[in-house]
Amino acid sequence: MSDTPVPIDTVEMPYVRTLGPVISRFFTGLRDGEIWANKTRTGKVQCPPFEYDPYTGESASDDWVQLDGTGTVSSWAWVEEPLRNHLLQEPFAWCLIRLDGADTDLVHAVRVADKGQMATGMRVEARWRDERIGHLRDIECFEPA
Amino acid sequence: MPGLLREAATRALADAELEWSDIDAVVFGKAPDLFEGVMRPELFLNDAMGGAGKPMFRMHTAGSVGAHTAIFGAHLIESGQYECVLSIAFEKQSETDTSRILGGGSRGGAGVAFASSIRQYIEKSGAPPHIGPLVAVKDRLNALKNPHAQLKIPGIDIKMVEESEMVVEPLRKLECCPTSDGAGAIIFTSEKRIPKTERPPAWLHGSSTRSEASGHPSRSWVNPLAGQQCAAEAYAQAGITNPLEELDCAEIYVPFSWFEPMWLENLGFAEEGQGWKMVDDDITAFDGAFPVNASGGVLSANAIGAAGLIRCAEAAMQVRGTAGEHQVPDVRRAMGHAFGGASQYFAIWIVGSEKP
Amino acid sequence: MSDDVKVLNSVVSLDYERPPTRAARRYTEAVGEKRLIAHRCPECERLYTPPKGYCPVCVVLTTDEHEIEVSPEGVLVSYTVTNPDKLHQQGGKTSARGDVMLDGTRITLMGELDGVEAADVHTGMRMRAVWVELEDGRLPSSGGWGAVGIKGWEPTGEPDASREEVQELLKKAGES
Repeated sequence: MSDTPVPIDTVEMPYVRTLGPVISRFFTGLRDGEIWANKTRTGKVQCPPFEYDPYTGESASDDWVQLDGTGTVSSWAWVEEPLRNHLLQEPFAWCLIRLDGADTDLVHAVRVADKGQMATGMRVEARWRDERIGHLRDIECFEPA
Repeated sequence: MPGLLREAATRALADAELEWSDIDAVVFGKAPDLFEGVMRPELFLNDAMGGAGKPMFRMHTAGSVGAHTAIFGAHLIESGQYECVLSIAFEKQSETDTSRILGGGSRGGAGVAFASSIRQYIEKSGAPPHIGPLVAVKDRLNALKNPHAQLKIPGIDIKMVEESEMVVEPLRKLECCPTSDGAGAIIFTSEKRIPKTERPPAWLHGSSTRSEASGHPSRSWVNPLAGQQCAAEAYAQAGITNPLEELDCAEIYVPFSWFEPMWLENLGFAEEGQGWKMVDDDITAFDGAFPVNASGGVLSANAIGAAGLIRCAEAAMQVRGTAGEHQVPDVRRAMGHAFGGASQYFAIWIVGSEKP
Repeated sequence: MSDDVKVLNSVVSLDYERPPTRAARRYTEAVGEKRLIAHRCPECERLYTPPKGYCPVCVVLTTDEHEIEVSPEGVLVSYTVTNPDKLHQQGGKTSARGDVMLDGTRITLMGELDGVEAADVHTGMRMRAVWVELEDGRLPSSGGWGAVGIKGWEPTGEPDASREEVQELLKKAGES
């Protein structure tokens, strides 16, 4: 009985997520090739934006600022073998990226020729896709600036 | 999802005239994560619920989870650990086709199992077939009075229900709950931190939760033991010996019409096999002697994870006298109830207008 | 604005490996031989099929020594007829599903009713299991709340149980 094969079940469901006014504005910007951030009531610039201030639960302000897609890597993790759902299908780094003008980090992929080029504090810029749909993947990845 | 939760939370805070900073701890509930496709969504929703820097607890008992979320929040106050707790629950079924999940594919799912247990009830009790449609009409008429009810069908009558499509015998479409997006929030405080508002608080008189043995093949789906035990404990805590006499109304989890008579028996409002007569005699109607689901109930909105908390909140609104157009006159004590899974989780609370 | 991005489409897809327990392996083997096995709790004598390897009521472990064979035949004690358009069921035909209480037990198992027109289904019918075919020695993947390894139930053709007998069985089912 020890050679009984191990059954594999695949659980798969499609989802359609309504975004709400704040995330909708962020995603609409991405579709148009723009990166938008919002401010908390204490003036902190959040990118990605939230409906609220994560530290207090208070609603965010209606004050928005546009960022230009350049930033600094706050931290990174190297992925040698990408999974089927990863942004890039070649070795890449998952990064926390502090966009210029933001007070929070954005999670995205950074493409470099090899792992040796990755460093905390390195400057990166967004590489946009030509065809954009309103999704974080409208930024294909970030690359060294 | 954050927006939905925050809408409920900010309304509860406004009603209590409290700020986010007044909350000491957050209890969060929702049904299976598969419904929104986000595993353990409390990880990212915590901040949206004002939970940063505070204790946060996630509850999960399928469809009954909302009531467990409410009761656990109350326990945190009763234990003396915290002075002000936010219990909050939601479901956003529109994110995917949840009826595909609940439908169960080729082997049949929730609808089939519940419909089959309803036939067992009908065969055992000898209830006439119009009882289910009667419940559906009553709850839908009540929903017309509730601004938060999702499904409103003006002019609904027995004929309309009986002519609606058969979904899973003996349940017709208008005897089934809709799929819903929704959230609910309740704020608990200790006695010394009761907000000084014009609206009085509701007092918790008793609460209980129970689960059935899992996958226990010979357990009853019609009159589950755990439901009986749950009610008995809640009544004992509240000092209730005759629930029908001593409670003024109830919000009971009725996702399919026939669950009302079944649960009336399970909760001891009627003798076994007699629950359908209370429905037939209009006792549970809005102007009956014991109104059940004056809000329109789960049949009028079933944001699954939130629905149990909303039953508890509706019971509290009734004793506070804040239910608006669907306020039942002179409510002193009311029950909020929920069940979940394959009729295997139960949660009940009894709230009153007076300090117990 | 009307052309704002309002939704995000995503597909969640995960693969799970589920190594079967010994009890599950023996159950699957029995299904392949068109036999139904159960574990009898040594304390309360409740029967579990498929065997769980424990009794959740008494919280005691059960093993091969508690294994018994139970009849894959019984009496239809309840049923429903589904509208497939409304219940999102594959196959797309109206079908009857019911609860069969196995002979000599208090176990009711849910499954599709085969070999009988939906309009002719009634409680009291004598039914027997329609087994699933094993694929490479294992049970095919399936969701839902029905019986495991049993596709459904078909009439045996024997005389019906009387209404009184069905009432007795329902009463027995309710004795937790």
